[in-house]
Amino acid sequence: MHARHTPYLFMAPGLLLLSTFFAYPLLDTFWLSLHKYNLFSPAQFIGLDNFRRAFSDELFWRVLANTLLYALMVVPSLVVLSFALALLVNNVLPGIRIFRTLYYIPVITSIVVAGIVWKWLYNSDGLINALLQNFGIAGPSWLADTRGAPQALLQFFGIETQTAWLAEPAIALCSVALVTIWKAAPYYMIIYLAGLQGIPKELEEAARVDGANRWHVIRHITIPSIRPYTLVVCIIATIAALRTFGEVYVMTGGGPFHRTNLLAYYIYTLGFKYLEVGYAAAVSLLLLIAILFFSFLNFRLAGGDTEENS
Amino acid sequence: MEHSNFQRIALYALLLCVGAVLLAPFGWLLSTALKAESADLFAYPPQWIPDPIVWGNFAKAWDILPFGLYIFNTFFIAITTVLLNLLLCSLTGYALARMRFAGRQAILYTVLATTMIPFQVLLIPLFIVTLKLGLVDSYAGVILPVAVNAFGIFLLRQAFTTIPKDLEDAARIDGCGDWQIYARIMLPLIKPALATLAAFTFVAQWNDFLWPLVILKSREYYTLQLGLASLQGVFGVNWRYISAAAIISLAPTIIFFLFTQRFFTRGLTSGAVKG
Repeated sequence: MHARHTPYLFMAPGLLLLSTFFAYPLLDTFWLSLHKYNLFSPAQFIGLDNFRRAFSDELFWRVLANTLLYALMVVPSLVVLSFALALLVNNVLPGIRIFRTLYYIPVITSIVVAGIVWKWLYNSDGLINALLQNFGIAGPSWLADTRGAPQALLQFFGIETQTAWLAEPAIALCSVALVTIWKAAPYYMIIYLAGLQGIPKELEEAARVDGANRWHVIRHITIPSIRPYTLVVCIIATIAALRTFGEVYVMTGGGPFHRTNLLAYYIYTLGFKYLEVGYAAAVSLLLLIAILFFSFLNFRLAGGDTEENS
Repeated sequence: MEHSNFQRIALYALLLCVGAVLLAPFGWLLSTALKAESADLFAYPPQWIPDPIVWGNFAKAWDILPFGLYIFNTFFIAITTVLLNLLLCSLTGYALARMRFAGRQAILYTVLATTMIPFQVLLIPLFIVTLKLGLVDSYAGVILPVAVNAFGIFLLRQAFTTIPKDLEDAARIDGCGDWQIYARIMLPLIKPALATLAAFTFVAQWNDFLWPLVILKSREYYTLQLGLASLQGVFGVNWRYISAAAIISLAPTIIFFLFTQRFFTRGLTSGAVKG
């Protein structure tokens, strides 16, 4: 057997780094959130003022609403699209691996490159609007349009409306969300693919023999069988959506009028542009609470469903 | 499931269409990078194949940005991060997998829990720690906070647990010490997991943006992504150069990925659910 201290020696370098660059910053977030601090003058204890400030900060609510709307668009789209992609590349065909590899390329593309590409596509005279022009549609200025997407759609069909809830989400926010979806869908496709390949072939064949069609098989065998994978996809995609930063930084800078400003970007600007370090830490904690809450919610929803089915 | 010939053709058509939609943005980027100064970038209908095809935009982008330096920086940071992760994650993962000691479960669960907390939440205090350690605007400042990661520890720990105990016992009878067993016997046995961690870490570092953005101030330390992001201001709106620069920074990732892609799919599927 090994000496008593050996395991600790093995773990020491790794755990030392994790403590320095993970555990300590996490604890420091709590401390900072209770202080007024700008990196230069000494920190000043102000109790819960940073949190009170967040709740009365209109911009914070705007950014929080954007972030939730954004997650609400991105996560369900990703679940559906990546599942559909996985079904497609799960077909047994010669050369199918080539398609899987090519589809994965958006995932390994850096967010800076992806942001630049899409900013160019979204240009008001860019490719997307040129393609729309083929159908006689004058596309908007995708990343700068503050109109609500539902409102704009109705307007397109000739219905003018000022209903408040149709003003959300802004076209610009939808445009940003589409980039995230494009970039992440093949990632979740691979997770779903692993799930699909784990389903026993006999199950599907038996259903076929009983006269089930393709849709029935998907609905009653495939989807229930891959439920654990859907949970994983939901959790990872929700966390990823709530922490989105690069798309905003590269494409919109949070504009127009903060309609694409998301929490992670807001934290960044608070901390590094305005040096509101204490307030930024408080908002970070609120983001963390949101992330933990939604992860918990995902678990509960998934858990509830399985009980219902059993 | 067997497909009829008709089904096969329909499936290939669908696969190609989906692929075209997913990859069209890159096609347009390349097309833009190859267009001459005189070509109208906003011509309608859009011109997919430039006429004439010019390569000068790449040279121009290379002139304006010190790509050589940026590629060196990015490569140096990525490789160092990969090596440190392989060493530190495997050491920690090895102890957690194959040694018995007080607090083992607690440490394992703590490591796992950290994967739930995203980097963005810790951004500000992490910057402050790095500032206090005097590492702002240095390679070390970029590398050290990501030199070990919980996902890597967990991945390698899982790989180590699958190795039979007999092997370890035999080595011990032959007189091997703990370090030798780890380095000579165990590490070579988990090569596939190490390769997966290396491939993931390399691409993650090559593409990383937020942390370098916060920590690097001087252009001499800039990574490709930082340089590329700073371009948007420099070029005004010359999309030919920007596209060329984007392709220069994307090409190595794609080539690297095409050679190592099997490690990516393996890592995803082993880490995601079965763990």
